Amino acid sequence: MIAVSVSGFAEWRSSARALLTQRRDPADIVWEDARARQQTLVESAASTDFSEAADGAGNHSSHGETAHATAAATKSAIVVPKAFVQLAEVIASHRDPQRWARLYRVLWRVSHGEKHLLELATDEDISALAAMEKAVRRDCHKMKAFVRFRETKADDDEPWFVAWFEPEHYIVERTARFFAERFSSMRWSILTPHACAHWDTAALTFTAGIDRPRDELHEPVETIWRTYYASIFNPARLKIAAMQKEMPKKYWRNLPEAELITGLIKAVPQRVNAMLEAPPTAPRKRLRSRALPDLEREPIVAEVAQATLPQLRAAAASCQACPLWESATQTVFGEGKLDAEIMRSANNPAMKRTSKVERCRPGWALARSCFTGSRDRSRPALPDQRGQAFQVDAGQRFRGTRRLHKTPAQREIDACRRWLESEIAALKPSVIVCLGVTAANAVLGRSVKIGAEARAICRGQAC
Amino acid sequence: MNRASSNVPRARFTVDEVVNLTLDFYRRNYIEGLFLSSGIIQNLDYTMEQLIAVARTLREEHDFRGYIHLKTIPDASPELIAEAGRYADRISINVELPTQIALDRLAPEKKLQTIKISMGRIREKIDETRAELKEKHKPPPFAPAGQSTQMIIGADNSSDKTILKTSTTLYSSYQLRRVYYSAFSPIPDASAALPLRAPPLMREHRLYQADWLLRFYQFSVDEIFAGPDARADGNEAQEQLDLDIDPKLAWALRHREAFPINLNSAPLEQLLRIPGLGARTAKKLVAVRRWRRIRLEDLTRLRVPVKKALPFIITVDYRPPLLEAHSTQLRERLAMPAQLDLFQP
Repeated sequence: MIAVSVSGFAEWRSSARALLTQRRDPADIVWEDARARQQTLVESAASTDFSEAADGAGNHSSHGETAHATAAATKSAIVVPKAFVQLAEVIASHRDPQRWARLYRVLWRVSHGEKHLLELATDEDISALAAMEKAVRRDCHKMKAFVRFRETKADDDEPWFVAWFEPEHYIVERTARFFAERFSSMRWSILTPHACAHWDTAALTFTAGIDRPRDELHEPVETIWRTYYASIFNPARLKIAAMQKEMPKKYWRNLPEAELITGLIKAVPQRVNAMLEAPPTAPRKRLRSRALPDLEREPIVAEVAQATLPQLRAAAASCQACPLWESATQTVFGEGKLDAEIMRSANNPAMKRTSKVERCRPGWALARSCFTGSRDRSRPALPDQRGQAFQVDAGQRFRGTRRLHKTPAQREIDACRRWLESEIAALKPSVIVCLGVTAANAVLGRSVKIGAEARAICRGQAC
Repeated sequence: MNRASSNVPRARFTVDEVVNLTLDFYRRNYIEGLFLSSGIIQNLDYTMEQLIAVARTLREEHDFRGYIHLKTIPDASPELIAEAGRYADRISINVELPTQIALDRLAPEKKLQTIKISMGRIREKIDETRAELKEKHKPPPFAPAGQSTQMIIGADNSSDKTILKTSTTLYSSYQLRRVYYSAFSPIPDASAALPLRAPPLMREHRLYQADWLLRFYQFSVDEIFAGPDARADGNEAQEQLDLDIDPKLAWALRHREAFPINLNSAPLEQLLRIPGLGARTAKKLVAVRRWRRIRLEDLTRLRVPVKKALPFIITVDYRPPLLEAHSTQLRERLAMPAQLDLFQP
């Protein structure tokens, strides 16, 4: 049997390393938590220190032995998973005095044939460590949220922010770094029963813990804060259990706003009833906007024949003729010269690869490959007349990024057909070039087979 | 309904007032960050400039390191939105209601299309910044915590299915980090067009659960609502989530043929479908079973609500009885008591 007393992670690590190289079985070691002993000493005052001292002198291995072991340890390196070291660092902050023994047992098992142990979430040791880790992390999180500083004056008359906090675990050292980064330009101290952290805008220092300060400072900002807190409280959304889970009662006594909570909760039924019973009101101000429109929308564009292209474009923007209107981002109306002789129709709008909303263009990809030469060298490039033509699409709804380049469904083409027809009517082109079968279907209004009709010119009524 | 149509008196803060108050609260660690939002003052761009001024002053002059969530005005000019993203951790545009029809009735000033175009722009900017970061350039930050939106639940009569369909589109097209569902709560001085009742908090909760199923459990909206509505008498298609049981349990009760699932052999996708089993627990089980067979006590160690999962699983030492209860009985056994309506008679 050997007794080892450690107070923090670094000490535990060097002791554990030494013991492991000596092949000390976990069952043969009694781990003492120096921090917990200090705590009990302080709490049980002077009357019991006699026996404690005797205890310490008798049974405890001196640090000498551990130090001796450490020297031996440095010779043979022990390889443990990085995840274990990280886990152990967190667990070291837990209050449970049994943690050192548990950590050593896991270390022993990992290095004695159970390399995968950390993956076994259902193992008794591992699930206990996981629970401890969770408790420490939660306490750290709550400390970050519930430390409340008060502004005081330092000796040099400069502002100095002081907070009193009572964490459940030994987490001051762990969490101080967070506060140093967050409040780097402020001088502050966080005082707790087991350690105090201080920041002077350059370095972090730690001192021993202190008792709860008797005189509590109050400052005017606290009143403003309480007013703010009370007024953002929405009685109609109160969930008491959820609230207490987020803001456990053990932290309440150091929160300036906590004293309001009971009163606010008590007033809830009355306030909510008042809200519900209050009769609805009409706006006092006259509003610019028109009356509420009907649920059923009016048919879009009554007089297609007379509409100009810009008018059509504006009208098409709010088209709801196919179900895409809800999920898609925008319509992509034709564009180009308003007096063009040639109209080109592709099947679908496309976007450049950068997915620019602004660059969403009618038939962009197809037009590029046809008019500036495709990769397929055997197919000669058509002369680039993009500036001279008017480019439209059979399906005009742009669908968001996921379904790019998907052939539009017949229903969607039918819905867009009247826009296409009105575009043709407004532009009166002499030639319509259909880029692909979908476009040809839409323009000609019938099923087209490219092979059968290639090189033939169709004379349509529209042209 | 908008701010202009409600009679509630408004207060206005100057940029300095907001900055100073924020700093006072922040230095004392009362607050973690700032949620910046405003009603329209003068015009859209002016309002937006004021909001940005607050964020800029805090970041540049006062070295403010807290979180800033900036509520963007959809019609504000793209340059302003780009600037907002430099100072804010997260930017958001609220769609408020899932369909244009509902918006036309309650918020006629809002156009789903403009909102979507703005969201698209924000997404592009976020993607660009991320791409540059990947190439080890150091671009100015742009909304590192992404963009989000909010939908009000229960102000109009949109069904849960409609709401979740809209969310799916928003998640996939604009890569939103979150869609927040917010139960409509009656405000003092409300219009007659709004429902005056206690906020449907349980419905909100169920929507969040369904949202999680969509994002982390490989469910689709149609799957969540598949099958006839258990509560309706006829064979009406289901459009609303159950309030008394969670959506995953509801799905499982409608698909008993897919269960029980063997925890020792089923692939992860199937484990994710078991009621009571979270995504992280499922992954842990997959890791554990490479070394050990899963037993019932393992589930207790992983803090799985065993009572809920039991009818749907097989472990080494457990198999549901051949005559396991019918779905209706199971439902009664596992359902939560309906939301207690504290304030209604």
